[in-house]
Amino acid sequence: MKKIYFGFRNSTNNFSMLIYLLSVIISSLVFTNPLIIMAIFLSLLIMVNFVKREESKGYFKFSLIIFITTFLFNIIINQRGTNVIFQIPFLKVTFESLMNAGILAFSFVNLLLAFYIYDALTNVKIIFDLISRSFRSIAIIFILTIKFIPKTIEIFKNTNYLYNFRYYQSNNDEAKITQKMDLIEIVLNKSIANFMNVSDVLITKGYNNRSKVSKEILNNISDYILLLISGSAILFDLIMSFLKIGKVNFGSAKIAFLINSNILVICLINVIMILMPILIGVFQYLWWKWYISRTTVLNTPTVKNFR
Amino acid sequence: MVHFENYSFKYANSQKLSLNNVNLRINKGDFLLLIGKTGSGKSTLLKQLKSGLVVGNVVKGNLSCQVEDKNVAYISQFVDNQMITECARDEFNFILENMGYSIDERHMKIAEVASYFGIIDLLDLTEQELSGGQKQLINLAAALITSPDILLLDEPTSQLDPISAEKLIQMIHKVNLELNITVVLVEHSLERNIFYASRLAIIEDGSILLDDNVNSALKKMFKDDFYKNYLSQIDRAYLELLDNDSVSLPLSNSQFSQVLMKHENEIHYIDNSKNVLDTENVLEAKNLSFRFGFESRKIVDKVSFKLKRGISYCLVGPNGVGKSTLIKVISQQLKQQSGKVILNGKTVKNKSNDIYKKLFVLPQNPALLFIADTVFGEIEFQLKQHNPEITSQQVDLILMQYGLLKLKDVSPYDLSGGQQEFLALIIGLIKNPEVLFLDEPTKGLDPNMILKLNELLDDYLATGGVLFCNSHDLVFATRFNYVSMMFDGTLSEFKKPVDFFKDKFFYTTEINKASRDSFPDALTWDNLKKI
Repeated sequence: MKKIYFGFRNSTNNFSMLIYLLSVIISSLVFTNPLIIMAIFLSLLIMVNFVKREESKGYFKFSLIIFITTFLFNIIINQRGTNVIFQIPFLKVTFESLMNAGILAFSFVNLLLAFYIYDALTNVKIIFDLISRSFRSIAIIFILTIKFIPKTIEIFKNTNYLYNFRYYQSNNDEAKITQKMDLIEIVLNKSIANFMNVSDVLITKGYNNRSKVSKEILNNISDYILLLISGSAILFDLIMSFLKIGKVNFGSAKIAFLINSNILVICLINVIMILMPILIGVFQYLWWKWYISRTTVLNTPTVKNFR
Repeated sequence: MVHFENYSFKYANSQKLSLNNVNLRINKGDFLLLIGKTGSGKSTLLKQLKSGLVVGNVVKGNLSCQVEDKNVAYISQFVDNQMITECARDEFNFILENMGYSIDERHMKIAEVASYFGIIDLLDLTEQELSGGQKQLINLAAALITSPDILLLDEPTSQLDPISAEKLIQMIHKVNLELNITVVLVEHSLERNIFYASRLAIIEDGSILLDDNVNSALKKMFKDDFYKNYLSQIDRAYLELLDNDSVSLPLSNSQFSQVLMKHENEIHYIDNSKNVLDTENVLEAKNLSFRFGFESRKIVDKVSFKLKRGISYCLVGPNGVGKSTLIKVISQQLKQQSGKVILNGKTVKNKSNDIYKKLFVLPQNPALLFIADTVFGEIEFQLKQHNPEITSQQVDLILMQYGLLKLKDVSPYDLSGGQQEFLALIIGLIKNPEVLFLDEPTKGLDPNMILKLNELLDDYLATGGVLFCNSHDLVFATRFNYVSMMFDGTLSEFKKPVDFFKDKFFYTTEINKASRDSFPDALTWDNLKKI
């Protein structure tokens, strides 16, 4: 998988990657048909495994919590529908309410997975370059936020831990709550001091004198393929969404599980689009194998020819 | 090139003058080493040359600088969080784009700087994948990529191990000699740096106390009881043993070695090592192992040792070998994957209240410990944990005892790096834990504060405390009862400093390197005395 991923990263530039990510996010947002959502979910899962990075356990745990919370919350809030599966006091679970809850929960998770892929495939510099072209002040906020949020989490973890060595623990619940409240204020103070450090770094790196940056994007075949597929998928998804194809009557008691040729086409196009990086990576890998076999095998005859 | 003329400056949030009537001239190609005690105004003076880094008012005088702001490069003492983007290549591009370089110019500049600094292989590594020395080398390359005229460095080696620090200073020297870039280096000690400087200045309470060529300045410093502690170990030893005006300072290790051989009969070795009593175990680590990820290498690999009452232990080793991680595992901030920690005969369970009561950890970033708005508040908070009835007068007394009374109303975050370190240590000593863990406690401290720190730690040990410390400062390490080295996740056997350092070829004190042929047990200047 690593070789395939490397093949993909090596053959595509940042711009085509961004268009691809935009397409993935749109496809996770616009459809509500359960079949499409599940197809997108499975494709995203494959992609998440493809771009997998270290320290992703926490993200998946968070996604699972969001899934369960959304699902349960919807089951409780939306009890509409006629096909009752089971009923207990204050809770009626119907086929329709299960479907509604599943659609919303999987939609959320799809979006989270799409952003995970986005996070794994982009870097700060690409986004910063794009924003800073037109919105200089937003770009600086972006940079500060990117540095600020993880740093604040780190400060919170360390301070929370080190605070224990200074404070003699009390078993009183009220005292514990006061301690936690104090801790938040302390962390904020420390974060602000850290925020000032980042702004100093920006000054030393000449950000206050930043001038217009000229960029030249060089595309190769993989970029054109990725751009074509992603661009077409964005257009296709938006048209389908406008025509209300691939959507169900979400939230209502008459929600229906519809499967027809249109739905299957939407599924197919989106699955291909989401899995494009893997296809490109496999293609690149096979090409490399073929290239290597040719160059190594032909070495001796080539020398002979020259003689 | 730069001229401070009767220059006085104060910060916007302070009533006190941080720079007072400064007169200093910096010429093209100078390598100026600026030293001074903690909080004397060294960094403030340096930052005057890079507008935007200081917020305050010029009270009087004038600063004339013939160099444009964009041609002044600045490197701070912080090694981490200096990169805005994810890797060195992006960082270089970011800086060059800010300066308006074209694509082709950017490409050539990165090629040039990466070749010059030998960092081509590091260009695409993330900050987490780089060691401290590599990060600081990239920070230096990033500062020089726009071909500046002046390079300002604020204690750039304070977080580096001795070998990485030496490499960095040599690179700065190379830049100064080959590219004729003016270097202003702020440091709290002369060890390593003095050999490369062309001028030496001392700042005290915001005023320039001394500004002279290196040889003359060092000899003048030796005559001052306060500043003689700032001298490098080699120069101090030479001046203490053979005060000869005809020799030009600073001396290299080989020069000093020759001097020692010549005068071997006039000098004798003094053993300053402390007697170690056999006391009971307080804390024991048994086969501790820790790694961050399933596929990662073991940062701590089956580490076992015992810490005894009233004894001090120091751990040395290069950056990034896991010294800080080991402290975090022992103090249970990170849970070990195998092994156990035994405190007073009981196995420590995760989040046990006992470890919070009986241990104290001074982290690498001391500001993480602060919880109050003022220095007074910090000390008061800690004292109240022992005695809730403590009065303001009693807090003042403690502040006076530790020399912090002048700073009582200052925010702990506004203190200099060295002052923050010292305050955090005082907080730990007030708590009086059974085991005190210190992570790089001499970082940012001037030599006299390190002497004070030694005294405070000796007092703490005399009360039966246990001290466990990580340090890059090898001279500081010689003051401990036992020293060990960490590498590849494992610890060497804890040995007495003399036994530990004398068989080291590279990783030892400068005095030991220079005197190994004549006095193999000598580690610091005070191990050698004239007969």
